Amino acid sequence: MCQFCEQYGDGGKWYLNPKNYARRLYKVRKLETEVKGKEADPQAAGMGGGVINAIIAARVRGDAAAEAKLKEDAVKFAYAMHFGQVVTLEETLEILDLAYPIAKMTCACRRVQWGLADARNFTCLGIGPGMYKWERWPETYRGGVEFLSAAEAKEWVMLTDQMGLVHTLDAFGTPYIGGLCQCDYPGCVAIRNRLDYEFKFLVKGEWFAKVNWERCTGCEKCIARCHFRAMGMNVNTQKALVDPLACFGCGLCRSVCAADAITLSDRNLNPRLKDMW
Amino acid sequence: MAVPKITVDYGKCTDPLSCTFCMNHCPYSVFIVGETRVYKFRETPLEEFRVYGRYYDRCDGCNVCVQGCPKQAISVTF
Ligand code: SF4
Ligand code: SF4
Repeated sequence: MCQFCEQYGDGGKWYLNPKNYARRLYKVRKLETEVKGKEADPQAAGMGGGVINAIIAARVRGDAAAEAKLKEDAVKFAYAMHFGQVVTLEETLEILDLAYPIAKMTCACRRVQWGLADARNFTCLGIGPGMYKWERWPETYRGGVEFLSAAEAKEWVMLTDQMGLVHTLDAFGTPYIGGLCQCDYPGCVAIRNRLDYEFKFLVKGEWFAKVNWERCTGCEKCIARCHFRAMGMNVNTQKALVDPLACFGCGLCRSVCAADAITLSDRNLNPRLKDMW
Repeated sequence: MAVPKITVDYGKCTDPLSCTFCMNHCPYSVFIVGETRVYKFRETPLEEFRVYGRYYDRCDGCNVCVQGCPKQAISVTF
């Protein structure tokens, strides 16, 4: 079981525990400083972006010990406050039955990464009572928000799955979950920083994919769906391959497979993978 | 590690979100944009965003950004 299920799951998956969607988010803040606007570090933009500049600098210096220490401290802080985890489409749909309210909002990461215009950037879902404060922090919800019914949100999420976007959830004040992203590499700062810098702000999903070679027709459709560099073709057999050590368990390869050749297995039940998050 | 110094002249690049050339053309997505201030009850104005070569360790010096920047604001030196 991942550490979050152990601590916050009450025996099940932590993100399917309704308790973790019920945070009281209204806090009294220091009004004057905030109306004037406070200094922000543009270099820190994006989910888990704050520490990445220091990680890159350490890597460029060749200081592996400093890089490791930076990550260790940052991850500890992230897991206590704000981090992400990959979830499957089915799990995302289940979460949409637990969380209220649900609102479509623009993706901060893709704004950071591509300067994507608001109108093209409504791929994130903000969930839970935190969404009621969107008017107070319009920059966080740049472009406004669009409140959706659970049915509308599910329809939208299924569409993003067809588009090939990875579903992840975000904790805002662990264990409270306040966001459901549909994103990509390198648009998602969290996915990017995990893949390129092994910064574990983003945690793997509870699953990993397996290909049944009896069923695989070698059509290669699944290969391009993987954002995590976990898939390839076996040249000899002309069948799809998944590297289980690289797989994050997002299930995107599976949802495109017309031959039903790809299944997701429980990471927790695999002796090699159960501690790899 | 041979990495470049990437600089953006903010006297020339004043509204990166209305341009986004470098962000969308660098083959390695080296550039990111972020706010220099955040406010309560209003969005950050566009001129308070700045673009940076955050992932400069991925840059191979292709100069697509330098050549394409409509404001000639970017320099990449190894
Ligand atoms: S192999 Fe499939 S399930 Fe695993 S990360 Fe890639 S697309 Fe997702
Ligand atoms: S020189 Fe090429 S690789 Fe380097 S930042 Fe500019 S566009 Fe990207």
